[in-house]
Amino acid sequence: MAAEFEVQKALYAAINGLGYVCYDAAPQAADGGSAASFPYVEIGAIVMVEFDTAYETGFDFVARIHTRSRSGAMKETKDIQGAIYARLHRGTLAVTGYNTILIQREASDVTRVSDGSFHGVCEYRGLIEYAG
Amino acid sequence: MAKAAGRTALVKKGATVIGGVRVSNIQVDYTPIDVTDNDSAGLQELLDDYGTGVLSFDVEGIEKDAVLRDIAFTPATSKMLSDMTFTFGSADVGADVIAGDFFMLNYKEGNDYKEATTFSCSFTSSGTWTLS
Repeated sequence: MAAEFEVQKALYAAINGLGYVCYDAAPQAADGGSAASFPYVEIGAIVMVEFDTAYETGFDFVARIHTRSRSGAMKETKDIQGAIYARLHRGTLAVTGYNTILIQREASDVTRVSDGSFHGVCEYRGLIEYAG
Repeated sequence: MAKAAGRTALVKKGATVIGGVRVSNIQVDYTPIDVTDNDSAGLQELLDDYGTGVLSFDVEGIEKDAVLRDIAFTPATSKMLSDMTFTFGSADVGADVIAGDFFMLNYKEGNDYKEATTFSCSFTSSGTWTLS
């Protein structure tokens, strides 16, 4: 299976294990609004570049983790981001078919969206090598 | 002769390919015997034999299997290795494997807190070597 998908699966399992609603792509209502269950986490873009050696293959990736909240303040978003940080930063990530060398948070941000909700974005960088 | 990708060069200890290698270099140096004298008309004159021939190679990459680390950091282990080989990447060349006795000159690991552990190691020949 593609490394991109395996990384996404691993992130989903880790975040879902914290008890948060987690989406690949948040569901949309028929009227164009959100049909997602707030608060939720969405696994966004995963950008992968090669992390090969002469005889092995691997990937250096950055995964963007979105947190969406309709709470009246940023705290809920930040609490969720903090829980994900505690789970992932310098932690373990079980990527099927790969050995995880490291996973760490590189950046974190929260902004207010025009509809009044909050949108948090965290970027996690990881290194994986093919285990075959 | 076809061009070769650098990654196809192999450094082995016995049958074990050294893992994690990203760059390998090999070179040979010959020191000539200078017999320049007053009869040389002001030009350097060398014998057709060399004084000293040295073959050296080095590897660097992502530390993986501790094969070289164990040798380097165990003082009682001889640094004179008789089972190191360097295989050139150009597989269509008849003679492409260098073998001989090689002394481990140095070994170094780097530990950037945000990166994978790196290593580098270099070897120099003792006595003759073969190309087969």
